[in-house]
Amino acid sequence: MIYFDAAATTLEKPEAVSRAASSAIRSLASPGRGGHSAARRAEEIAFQCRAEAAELFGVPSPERVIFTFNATHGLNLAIRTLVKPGSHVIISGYEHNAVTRTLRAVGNISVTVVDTPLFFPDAAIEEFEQAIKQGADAVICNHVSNVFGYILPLEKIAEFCRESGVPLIVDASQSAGVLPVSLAELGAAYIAMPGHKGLYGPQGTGLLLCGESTAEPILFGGTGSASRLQEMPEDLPDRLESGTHNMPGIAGLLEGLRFVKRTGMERIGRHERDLAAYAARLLNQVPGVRVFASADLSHQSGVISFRVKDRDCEELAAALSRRAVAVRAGLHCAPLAHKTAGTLEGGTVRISFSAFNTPVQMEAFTGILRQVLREKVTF
Amino acid sequence: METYLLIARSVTHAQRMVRILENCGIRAGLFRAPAGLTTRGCSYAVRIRAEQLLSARSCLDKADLQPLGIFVHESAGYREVIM
Repeated sequence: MIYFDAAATTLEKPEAVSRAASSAIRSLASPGRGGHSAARRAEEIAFQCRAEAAELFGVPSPERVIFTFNATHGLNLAIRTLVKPGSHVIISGYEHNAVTRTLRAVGNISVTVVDTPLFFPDAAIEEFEQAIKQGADAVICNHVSNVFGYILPLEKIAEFCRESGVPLIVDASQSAGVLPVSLAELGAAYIAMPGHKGLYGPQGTGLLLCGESTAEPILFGGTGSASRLQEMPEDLPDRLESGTHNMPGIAGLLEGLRFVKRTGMERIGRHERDLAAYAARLLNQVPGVRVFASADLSHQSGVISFRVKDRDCEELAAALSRRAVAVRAGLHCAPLAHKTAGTLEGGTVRISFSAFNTPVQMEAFTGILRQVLREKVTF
Repeated sequence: METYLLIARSVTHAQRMVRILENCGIRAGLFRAPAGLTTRGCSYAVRIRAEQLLSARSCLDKADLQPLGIFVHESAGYREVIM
């Protein structure tokens, strides 16, 4: 199979990840829930995972690294803490439903959408600056669009937030593991990320990196600490981690983080960006294909969208799937991004890369796409 | 041998204290705190030797990491030390 759907989840993982997850099922009990050796082993793995993430993402202490189920869970925690009915929020025009649906659920809020054109960071900088100067209760911005791979000017947006004292929530779903992300340098209130994409952990893992303020829990229950109290503990990470941890996931994520650290985030990011540039070049040679990609690699990550004239995106993805090629078509849970880019009607076909993809796979993909486009459309 | 227990807010807090102390060259052990030592219920503690208490506190202060409480283990049991 040619797997080009890393933006949804990386399917191919380092061997150590599956080994660790499998071993955890047999050997790790519940961290913070006992003094026996199986619980102690779990505590050690959980701490190592927090410490590894803290080092990789500029978090001052491991307690501020929260285990979540995925990035959506982390974004819910962050948004539910900072955004209340009556709040004013600024978001980019490239946000995922993980942000927009959560905001809708809070209700009665005003939202400024900075819906500047695709791959035009200067316009985004200008409009974010203007919007943030007016004041807001929070700015929420994804680092990289999950549809187009557009790298938003996060450092500048963070700078405006710091200057105006507006808390920043970052959705690092597509950047964690491939671009530098530092909680301390950005001065962000929260950064949410999945564990199962660019960090190569198992599905069902994610991280929320917390700045200075304490987040509000959305899940209540046992933490293994301060058990006599009926309120959730004030201290992180326990405040946000009720119930039994996903230890196979966390053990796998630890190995994923080690893989990223060992390989080098910069190296992985460059590999994926080079693949995206190569993909754009190859796809642009296919008749009828329109590629959404930046000519400037500094604005493009390893995610790329395209459309084919007179062809339905879902039909194309289905035809590719029949030839053992995995891509994702449609709106990618990000209708706002498609609206901003003008692709809401019909969506796009998205290909997205991991450290394990190769230029030869991209060449094979282009050949298969050409074949598919020559054939009559059938479902 | 006289030992002291540093009560932690959570297992992660306790683990961090152990790491910081070890970086300062202080041997420290992590274990579940005796139930009677805290009114909060279910806690973790870090055990250190008496002669290392002063340097342990200074080391933790530098890391801005304070224990919830400090107990000394005597023949009669545990006694909280107010410092």
